[in-house]
Amino acid sequence: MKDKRILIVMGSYVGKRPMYERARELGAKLVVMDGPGHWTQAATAESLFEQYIEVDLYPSNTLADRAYQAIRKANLHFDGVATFEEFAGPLTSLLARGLGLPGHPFLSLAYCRDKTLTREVCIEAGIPSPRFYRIGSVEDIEVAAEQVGFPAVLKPVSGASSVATYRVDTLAALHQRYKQTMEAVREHLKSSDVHSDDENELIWKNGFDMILEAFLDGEEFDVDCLLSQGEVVYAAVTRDLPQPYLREVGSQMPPAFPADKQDELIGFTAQVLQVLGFYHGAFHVEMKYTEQGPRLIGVNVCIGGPRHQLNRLVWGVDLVEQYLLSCLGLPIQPRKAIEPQTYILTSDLPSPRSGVIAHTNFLQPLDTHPHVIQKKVNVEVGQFVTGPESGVPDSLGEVMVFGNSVEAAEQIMAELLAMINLPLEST
Amino acid sequence: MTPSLHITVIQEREHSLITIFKLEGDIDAESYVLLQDKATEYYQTGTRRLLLDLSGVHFMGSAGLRALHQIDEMLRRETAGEDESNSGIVNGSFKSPYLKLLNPSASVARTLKLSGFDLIFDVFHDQQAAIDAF
Repeated sequence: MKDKRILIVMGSYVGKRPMYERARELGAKLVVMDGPGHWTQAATAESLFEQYIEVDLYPSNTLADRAYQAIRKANLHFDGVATFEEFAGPLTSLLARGLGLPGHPFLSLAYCRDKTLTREVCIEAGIPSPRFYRIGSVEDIEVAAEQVGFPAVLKPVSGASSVATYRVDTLAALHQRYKQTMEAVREHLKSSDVHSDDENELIWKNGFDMILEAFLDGEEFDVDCLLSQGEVVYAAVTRDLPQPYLREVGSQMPPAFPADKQDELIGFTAQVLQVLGFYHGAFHVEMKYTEQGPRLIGVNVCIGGPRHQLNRLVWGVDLVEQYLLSCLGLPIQPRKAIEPQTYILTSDLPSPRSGVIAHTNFLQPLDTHPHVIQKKVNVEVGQFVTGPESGVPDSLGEVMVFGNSVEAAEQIMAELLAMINLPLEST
Repeated sequence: MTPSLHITVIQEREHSLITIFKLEGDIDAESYVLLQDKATEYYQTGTRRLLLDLSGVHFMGSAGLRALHQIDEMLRRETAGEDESNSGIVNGSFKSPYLKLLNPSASVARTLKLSGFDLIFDVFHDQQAAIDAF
């Protein structure tokens, strides 16, 4: 990969920075294309990227042509085209094709940008799927409820990170959540200068359609998967910790889950990716293991934020390296460790009640703990946060630990969480 | 089961290579083949520019997108040069000069936008403007 120049289409959020740093360590030269004011613009000045190509992401229907013209104007030779931003899929495919470089099929990426399309393709191919209905306006709600039933999950058709994702148990709750969501999202959309860190814009700018899906019982899992020439060359399962709020509150890798069922999850992942038309690259597939077996939640055609680190630490596989090699058109042959190299547990820290943040030092007791891989504070002093009594609680922070077994990692996390002082002002 | 899609064909006389399909109904997993087959039939008799009037289409899902993609690739195959065919770019644009869309409903328009299909197909709200754009 040394000295290969790779075009990065949309830089995504700043949590993806470690992936770009890894790519630079591998010797790749990165040129990033994104909207005005994106964080990668400043990072280019720090030499993380060789060059920054600025293209306003809106209006969306002219983006591909404007992006291509801007890239040609830069007059650079590219060896590959890549993205770590899930909303950039179709654009990345077009630009790769336009530059004569490897890329995913445009149609496959189109299917993944809209959850109802993903569901339809899977159903046509005979993959069991939950009942679902697309809600384009409030007039669709009654029919949706009749078709899908309760309990159900309401979410954007083109969402990310569980934003605006709610379990609803009654028609009244569905009406209320839909109304709240529409009121919240319509207020704040920008009309220009959009870049890929504007998650709200990316989710809602092209429409406010939502999907109502039958709620799936069972635990949630993620499968990180590498395909090469149509074959699965690597797969690893992560168990998502129980989520009362339909937002990931933590994860366990490797999971405390029978090996044969993990194989089922991986086989299901391979089947879904094949049906969608993919044959190479890196994927992050979310699903549940129900009483009837695996059921798809969604397909992300990129490497998620912490996934690179998790897969490298546990299985010795560098997803960034393997993905970029696939973007260069090279076959990939990752070497997965026979046994896990460590056992990792991550935990989100949901606010236990609504209140004002009094301080941000609450993770300091973890500073010198030898089993803490990383910790992150997500709030600022003076910020008002919501607790479970108001709906989905805000995240105060995140902690990632390792141990030499699943049980050891759980014990360590329990001890650390007990050390944390709540940063909320007294009521 | 009776397919849910009806296609009315209009040949644009002033521009003999442009054919208009007025579609009514749903483009779904059962009916998309009708659209593909009709496009192939007219391609084989000389059509090289196709305008799809979507004003009567209530629903277009993944199968409909697949049909649009397949029809565009078919139209490009013979008309576009090798470079254009490989790159997907004609006259500096990813927008197809062979297949254009007219008056999609609001929900179909959102499907086109969310899926990224608005990157490769021009959408018009006036038939003459669409014809003139070929």
